[in-house]
Amino acid sequence: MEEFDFMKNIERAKAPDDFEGRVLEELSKRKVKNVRTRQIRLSFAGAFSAIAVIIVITSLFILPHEETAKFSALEKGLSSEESMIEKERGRKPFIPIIEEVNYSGEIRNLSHEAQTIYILEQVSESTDASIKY
Amino acid sequence: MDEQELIVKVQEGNEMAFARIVNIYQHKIVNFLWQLTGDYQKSVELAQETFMRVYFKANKYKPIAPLSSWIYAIASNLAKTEMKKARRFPSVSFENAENNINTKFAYTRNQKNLDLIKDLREAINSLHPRYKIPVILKDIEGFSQEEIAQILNKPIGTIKARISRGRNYLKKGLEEKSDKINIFKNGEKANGRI
Repeated sequence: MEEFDFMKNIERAKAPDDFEGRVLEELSKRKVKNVRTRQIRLSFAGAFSAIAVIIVITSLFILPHEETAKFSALEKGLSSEESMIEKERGRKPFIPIIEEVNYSGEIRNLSHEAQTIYILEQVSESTDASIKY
Repeated sequence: MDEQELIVKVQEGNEMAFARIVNIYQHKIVNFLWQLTGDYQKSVELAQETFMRVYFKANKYKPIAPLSSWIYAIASNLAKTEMKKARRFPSVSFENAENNINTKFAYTRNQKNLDLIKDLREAINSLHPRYKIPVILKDIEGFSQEEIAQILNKPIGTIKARISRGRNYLKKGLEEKSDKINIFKNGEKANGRI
């Protein structure tokens, strides 16, 4: 569009006389800054990796490991449930309490039949969730 | 040494080659940023930042486009960010730039032409950056539409449309201003002052 050619003659700004010098000065400053930033980054990375290594070592060798306990139980020939019970026993000692139970009150008095005692047992296959004292 | 060789040297960390690039582009970039922001100090700062990026991001330059397009792309991105930050379209401060404005005019410096330039500058500044950048690149910096498409990373059709729309807005703005001047002059005549 030729009618806009006059815009090429519009006032133009020039860079200041010392612009090139200023840019080069800024460049050397930034280079120094970049080196420092890189050093800080490297030191931070080093610190973080050291912390990570310490955490890994602690979790592997110092803290008790679940997998190793299971493995040792299998070595003994115990099932996982038994090993769990054994583990539980090892952790929390419990005192067995024996109670005498009188079933005489449970006997039904039927007129012509012999007296029968019905003992109800748990028949489900799920594990016994007995209360421990 | 051509520009491609210069940028290869900059990629190797050669400061002399970088200084040469700064020397070639300093006035163009400062002027481009001044046209965009309207603030001379800001445009010098942004130009400095542009050259810093040229040096530190030189490895990202690929010789598929001319070096000038790449440098202008960096400058226009910085200007866009700056304009977004400012959340306004700043007006021109002629006073700041006075000492550094090229006095090479096609017009003689009479009042009428100064008014025209002032109006034109105001009209350019009132444009949205979407239209302002392509119009400045085309009509002031003299880039082709293909080059502008490369600089702004937009399809050529979009660039054509933006230039055309931007020019229409400019035209409309200038017409409105000249109408106002005519109304004012007619008023003065009616009052017997002229």
